[in-house]
Amino acid sequence: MTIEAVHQVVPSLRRWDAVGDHTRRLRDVLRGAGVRSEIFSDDVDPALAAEARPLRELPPPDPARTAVVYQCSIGNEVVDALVARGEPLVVDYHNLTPVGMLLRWAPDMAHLVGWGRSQVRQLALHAVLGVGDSDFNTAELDHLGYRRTATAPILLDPDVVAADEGAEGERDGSWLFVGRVVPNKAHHDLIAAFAWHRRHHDPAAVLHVVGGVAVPAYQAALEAMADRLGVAGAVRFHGAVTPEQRDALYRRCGVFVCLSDHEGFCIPLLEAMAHRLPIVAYAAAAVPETVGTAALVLPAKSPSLVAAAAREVLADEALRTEMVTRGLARLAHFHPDAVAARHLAALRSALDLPG
Amino acid sequence: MADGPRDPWRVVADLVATDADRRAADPGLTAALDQERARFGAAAGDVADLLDELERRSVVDVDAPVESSRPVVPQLKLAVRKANAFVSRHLAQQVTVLTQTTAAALRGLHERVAALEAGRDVRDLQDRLLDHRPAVADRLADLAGAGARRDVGAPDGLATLPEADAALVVLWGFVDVVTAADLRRALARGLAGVAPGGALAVVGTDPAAWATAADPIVLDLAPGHPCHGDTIAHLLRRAGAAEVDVVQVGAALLVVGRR
Repeated sequence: MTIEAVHQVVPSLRRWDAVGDHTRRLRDVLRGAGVRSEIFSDDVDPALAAEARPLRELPPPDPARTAVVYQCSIGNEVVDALVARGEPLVVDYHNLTPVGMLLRWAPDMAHLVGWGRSQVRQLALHAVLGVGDSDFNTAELDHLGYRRTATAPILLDPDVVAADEGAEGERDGSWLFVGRVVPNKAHHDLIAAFAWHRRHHDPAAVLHVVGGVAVPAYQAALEAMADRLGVAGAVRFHGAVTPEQRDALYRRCGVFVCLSDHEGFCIPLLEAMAHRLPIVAYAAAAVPETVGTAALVLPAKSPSLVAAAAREVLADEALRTEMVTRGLARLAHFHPDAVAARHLAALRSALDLPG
Repeated sequence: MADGPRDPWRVVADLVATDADRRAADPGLTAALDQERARFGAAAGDVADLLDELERRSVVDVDAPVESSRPVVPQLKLAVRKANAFVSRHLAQQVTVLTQTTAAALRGLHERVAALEAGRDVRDLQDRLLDHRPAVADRLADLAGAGARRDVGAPDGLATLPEADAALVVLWGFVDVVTAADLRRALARGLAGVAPGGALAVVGTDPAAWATAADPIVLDLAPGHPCHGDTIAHLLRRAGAAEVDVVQVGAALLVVGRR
């Protein structure tokens, strides 16, 4: 029997949140494919109140006609209810930070992440399909025993993957990294590499760090580190900023440096490409997959190596141009139209959808 | 024809191939940055701080938050909390006792491990102090000439040292962290390995540099301490060496005696 409705359950629906945006776009894709689709969540940003309904309004299970997509997140009570429903369940997995990377800095968060990871494992027994937004994430689902898996990247705002025509002006020699301040993003390695760059290449360089502070203890340790290394005045922690403020930095800085130890996808890499900003990145988790050949991808991240790579990008105009060209070409891989087709194909591999 | 852009893969390969040179060119900054990064390692961190944190968190808060944006829910949560209070407190008390006991045991272990690690810290200290190694190496090369040279970097190496065999025997590193009695034995055994007319060289650390270069706890817990050059020279003569010379090269101390 054909599935008539594919609803989504998400623990939290927030503005300016990648998973929240993805959930809303996937709903639109499903509706466009001729199935009914609603979002259910008990934690909804007031600005998005019209986009979602409370979980208690999730229709009674109808396994023959209805399926549910669970947008995986940190541990929460929703999973138990979903498992008990018995209808076809799809797990959309955006990855969770390994517990060990958080334990020292944020034990509370580590607990929730560990709980979430155990739920992903538990869901393998019930899901008809696991979708990872990178092959790296899908490999984890395979390892956990999901009987059917597919890779379909996260659905992005078309503006994210569109070339920024206003980003062709003069740039300075500053470094940029965008991402929440959490230990797995390895801001400490970034500061160390930047200190080398200031000493050996450009004593006037500035490092811009954009992203909300998710782990205050880590942020405090970073500030102390920058102070000890004598670069505190050159490392600018901007915190959470508006998209306009962030884009202004993408247009102004000379190189995007990402030294994360764990990324399930890393949207800022695509943002950098769209803003014609060359990338130096450490080859960890899904990062090489996201950047393809459009970055200097480093197999190690000794401060001297990272700084030397950044210097190459800043100093060699031909290399910069080549990397920007490659970046803009790489974006096509993540265009929402192409990604939507991959999501529908993945869902059709496990569900009898119309069309 | 103008050169095209370099392939990013080639750029990375070249940078990786030359990174050791970059690091070697600024050992001070390299060490400082490595040390800073190590503070953030998953297994790193000050264990004492972690144990403090463990103890702080062992006191479980049994009063679960009751706030909610929905009406009546706070009152319901409060009622549930009150009804379960005696169970929560009983469980929390056991968790606290278990965690505090665990933390106390871990503190004891940590102190013992720290004492053991002092040996490693000492080796790190030697590595930092012996920054004049190339100059020392040149002098040793002159001493050996074309004859056989045997380097002994740990006391175990003395046991297999052939008798009266080498033009030059070099004792290095461990001489800083052995007891006086062991140093005497090492010098005698090392000299026995030298062929007639050959030399025994002892490479140690200048005690003055040693005393100011590290955490006092590391130094106090080390299994020994460096001797002054005159002391080593004295012991060498007593072991039977002739023409004993003492040379200081930076923080390194080179004492040479001939057989």
